[in-house]
Amino acid sequence: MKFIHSSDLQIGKAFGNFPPETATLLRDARQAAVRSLAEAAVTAGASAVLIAGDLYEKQQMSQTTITRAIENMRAFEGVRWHLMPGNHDHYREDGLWDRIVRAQLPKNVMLHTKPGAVQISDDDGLPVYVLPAPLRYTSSADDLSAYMDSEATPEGAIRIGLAHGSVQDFGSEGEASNYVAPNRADTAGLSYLAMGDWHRQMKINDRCWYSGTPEPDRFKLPPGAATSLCNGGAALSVEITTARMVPMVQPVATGCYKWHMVEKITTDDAQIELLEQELRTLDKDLSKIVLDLRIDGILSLTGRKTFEDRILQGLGTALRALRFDEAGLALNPTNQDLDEIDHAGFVRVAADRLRALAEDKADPRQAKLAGQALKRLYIEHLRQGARL
Amino acid sequence: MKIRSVELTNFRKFVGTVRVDTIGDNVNVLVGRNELGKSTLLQAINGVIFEKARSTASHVKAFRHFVNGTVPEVKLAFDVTGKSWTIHKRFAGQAGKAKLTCSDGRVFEDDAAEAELQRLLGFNGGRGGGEPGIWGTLWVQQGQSFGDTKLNEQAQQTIQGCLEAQVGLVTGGARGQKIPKAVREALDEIQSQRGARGRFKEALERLNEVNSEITELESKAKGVSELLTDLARNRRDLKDAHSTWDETAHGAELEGERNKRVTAATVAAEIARARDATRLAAERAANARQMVEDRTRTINELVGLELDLAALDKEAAAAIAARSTAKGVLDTAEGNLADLRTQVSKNAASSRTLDRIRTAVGLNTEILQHQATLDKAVALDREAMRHSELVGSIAATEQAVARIEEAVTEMSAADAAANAVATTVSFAIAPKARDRVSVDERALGTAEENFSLLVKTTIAITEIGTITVEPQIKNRTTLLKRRQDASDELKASLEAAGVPDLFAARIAAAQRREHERNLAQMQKDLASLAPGNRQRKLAPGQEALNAHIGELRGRLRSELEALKIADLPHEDTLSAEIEKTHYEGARLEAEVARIEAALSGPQEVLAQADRLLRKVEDRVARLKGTTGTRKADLEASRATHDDVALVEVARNLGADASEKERALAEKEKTQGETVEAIGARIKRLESAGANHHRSISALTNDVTRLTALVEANEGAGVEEMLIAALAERERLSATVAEFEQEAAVLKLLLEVLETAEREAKNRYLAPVVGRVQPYLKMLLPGADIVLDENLQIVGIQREGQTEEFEVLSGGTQEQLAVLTRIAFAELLLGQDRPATVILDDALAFSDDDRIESMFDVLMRAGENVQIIVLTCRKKLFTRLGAAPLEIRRAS
Repeated sequence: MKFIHSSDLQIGKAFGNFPPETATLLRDARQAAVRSLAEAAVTAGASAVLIAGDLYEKQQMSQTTITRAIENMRAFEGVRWHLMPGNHDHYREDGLWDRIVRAQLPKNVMLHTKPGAVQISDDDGLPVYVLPAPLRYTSSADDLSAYMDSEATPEGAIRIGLAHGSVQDFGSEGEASNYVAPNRADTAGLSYLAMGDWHRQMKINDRCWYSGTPEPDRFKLPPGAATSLCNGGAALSVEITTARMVPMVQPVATGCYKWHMVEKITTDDAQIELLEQELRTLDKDLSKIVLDLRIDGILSLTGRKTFEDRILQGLGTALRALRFDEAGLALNPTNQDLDEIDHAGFVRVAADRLRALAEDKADPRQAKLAGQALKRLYIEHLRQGARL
Repeated sequence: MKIRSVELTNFRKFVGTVRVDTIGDNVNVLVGRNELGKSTLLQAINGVIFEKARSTASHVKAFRHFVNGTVPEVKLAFDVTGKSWTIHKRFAGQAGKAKLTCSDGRVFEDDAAEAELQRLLGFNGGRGGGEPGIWGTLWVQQGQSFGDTKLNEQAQQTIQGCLEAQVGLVTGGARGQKIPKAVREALDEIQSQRGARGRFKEALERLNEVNSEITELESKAKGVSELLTDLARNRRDLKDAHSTWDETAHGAELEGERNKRVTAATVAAEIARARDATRLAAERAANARQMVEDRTRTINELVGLELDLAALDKEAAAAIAARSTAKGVLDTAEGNLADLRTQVSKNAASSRTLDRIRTAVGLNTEILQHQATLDKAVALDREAMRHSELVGSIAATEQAVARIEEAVTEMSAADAAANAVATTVSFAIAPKARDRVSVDERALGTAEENFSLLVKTTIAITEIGTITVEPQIKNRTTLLKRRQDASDELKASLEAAGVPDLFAARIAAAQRREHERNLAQMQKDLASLAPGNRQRKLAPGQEALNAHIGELRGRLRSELEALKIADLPHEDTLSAEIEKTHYEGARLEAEVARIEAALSGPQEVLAQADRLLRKVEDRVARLKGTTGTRKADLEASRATHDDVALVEVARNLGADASEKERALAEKEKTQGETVEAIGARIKRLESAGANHHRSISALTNDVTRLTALVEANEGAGVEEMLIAALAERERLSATVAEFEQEAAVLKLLLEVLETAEREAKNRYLAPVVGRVQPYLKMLLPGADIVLDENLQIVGIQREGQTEEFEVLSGGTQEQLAVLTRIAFAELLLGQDRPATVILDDALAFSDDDRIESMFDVLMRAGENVQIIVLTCRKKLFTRLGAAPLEIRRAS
């Protein structure tokens, strides 16, 4: 039995921290993840895709959003889809999942909205059972996978658990609640426990894996990450030949966009060029990059202008999306900067005063504001210079 | 720079050479009438400095004399940089000449002279001539003094050069000026005084809209969620309702209960019948017992009644006896009272008779009084008659006396008139001879006598003869007639009055008046004796009184006849009689009152006896009635059953009732559950069935309705819309925050820029303002001048209020302009640049007080700056105290 394990597509998610046009693309990418998973299954020779919860972002989704995902699944006849409700799209009577049923479910799509072993294939005489632990509420105090321990299946059958939640009581991933015992695969005699909820891919043990989201949706680096690449963007290809054999698990890339989070501290205007070079090496296709750039440190007014020109207005336009946070960036106008504005006269006096305010550590808010005002003065000076 | 002298030859209106020299260091004044050429002088100074000698410009050609057109020349001597210089120009077009001579011996000619002059005085040259620059400001031509300083570009540069040399570069140049403007515009685009505007405002408004949408969507999502919850619950309830209800068992239970109710109803009907029969028997037994008791009570009652009746008869007899006794006592007392009342009546009759007699006595007394009055009146009347006669006996009335007095007077007047014209003959005859003389045969009265003669008179002297005197009087006849008439009248009047002369007449008249007075008094007394009486309808006068006496006498006679007495008793006797009668009356009335009071006791005793008797009689009557009725009832009852039979009937009926009661108790023991209890259970079971069916129906309806609602809402994807709206809110919140940040940044930037600009301007203008201020204090104490960055006067500030230059009076504008020019000149001198102030007909608008202050200012400023004042107002400017200048014709 070979299948693709995925979860947390969260179709319909909106991206309020991006401009509308970018948000639309990111939203569409989550719908497209269904096709990516199907294609991954076809490529890997897998017969099924198991979604361990949170196919949808919310309960009350539009019919179009719901149907489009199901229709994308229908399109791949050779792939069987096993869908289970998660915390975002938990099961409610007459709710989302019943709607899907009412709307004529394709033959290749199976819903697992109730706990209990369900045979999903007969792999050359070896029956394969899925033991789902669907969520009926956003959060549940009980370990819904507990029933698996006593759920009977024929001797020698492959038992695959499907669960959505955290294997830690208070998850370091920040997604606690809906606790699932990490040794459930062992206690319930599962060949594999397909976990959902965490958006990064993670192996808990040989038989228990988090697939992560197939399309990244947030700037969150894995713990101790050496890279700038954020969580998500892959599924798992799982092959089980016998019930007690350790499954063969392979990550499969599925993401459309790569989310990077880059944090830099600048102390010299010259670092801008290095930063630009570094960012350009993130990917050959910058249009697939969603970047969160956080700059701390100091820049001169001239340096800030260069930064604006080369990073934000230059490289930034090639990216799919760029979020820039300069909260930690202080402007350190040099005498040369101020001389550029004016050598003398009241404008220069104003520039000097703003610099003094910006350097006043007693009032950080005012200092920040003064720094911005100085930057604005510098820009106005450049504009007026350009007009003259 | 200090101008020392200027010399004009054939310049405009001047023919030949004129000269102004000895121009001092301080304030100089050139006074001259209009058309003297003061303005021409200023024109010449301007010309010799700024116009090239070879200029062919029309305004330079205009330097030539108006009429003869000869070539004009100007020579100006001045000190600058510690040396004396003379510029001499001959404006002859292409043939013009310029020569600049220095006290150090250097001489510059033509172009070199022009160039050196420019260098010395710091102005720019040009093809047509020099640009006066600041000099144009310092040298005020006629009619220009009261305008603002309005520095041209060159002048402004000159002053700015001075200022910047002193305070450094403070302005931001052309670009610097534009920055605050651009920042202000950028801020205005997103924020006004009232708050956000433009894109900022749009973002805020959109954010509000999105917030409202979110609230609505959240509510909708919650609504859909609740619908789902309700639907699930209803489905569960419906399922429970079906699983917990057995319709067949319910039907069987209901049927069984209904059968039980029929059986119970039959038993209940039998018991009810037995209960009715028992009740009837008990009632009959009770009635019989009651009849026995009633008969026994009636027999006993009749015995009591008879005893009561006998006792009452005794009471009635006693009451009758008591009443008779009381009646006897009362009758005796009432007889005594009747006697007394007869006596009272008699005494009252005597009293009335005595009162009538007293009235008759009073009538008689009145008659006697009236009679006495009447008698007195008769006597008075008689006396009055006598006095009337006395009055009538005296003819000398007041009129008669007056007539006599008039006649005497006329007689005297007639004599006097005659005597006035008469001839007086005086005799002085020896007494012994007197008898011998007679006048008209009348002897002389005395020895010496005078005669007034009117007519011919003969004086005979015995033994001597006669002397005839015949006076010649013109109107002698008239005079004599008058005297005669007067004499006749006198005589007649005396006769009429019956008196011999006037004196006697007056005495007689006085007697007559006395008689008349007495008569009047008597008549008055008479009238008062019978004045009449309105109340008694008695008219005044004796006649009326007399008639009244007659009437009274009639009445008295009639009264005596009625009283049957011949004479009236004496008044004292009558009074004693009346008093006695009154005393007796009072005594009798007191006695009557006493007996009447004593009567009330027996009367009350009698009334009580009456009441007791009536009461006893009533009770006797009632007892007799009751006794009769009872006897009749007893007899009627005994006619049916005698006393023994009646007791037997009652006993039998009691036994029957007891038997029926026992039988009923036996029957009631056989009764099970009541019909009502079974009926209530049937009702409950029927209701439970109906409730179950209603509940199933309602739940089914709810499920159908909720399913329809859920299906209707789920397609919209409320939560999807909500997350889209939340995303938009996140974006808009970020946008709003950016705008807020931008506004704060722009506001701070603008604030800092404006503060810096304001401070720079103040610092920049300080040297000029500082120089104007001391003079302004002399002119307008408490006021400050306000200049703009172009060194133009904006206005003045007084008591915290700025007054704009344009709204100030012409005089104040002119004075401020002059002060500012002086300040400029001082500023230039401070920078070792040449400066001289020339004022042509300035201060024309200043009033007397201000011009005095301005003179002080000019003289004070003149200590630093050379000032040349050109004016036509000789008298006024004499008070300036400046060094006088003159236009002199050169020798």
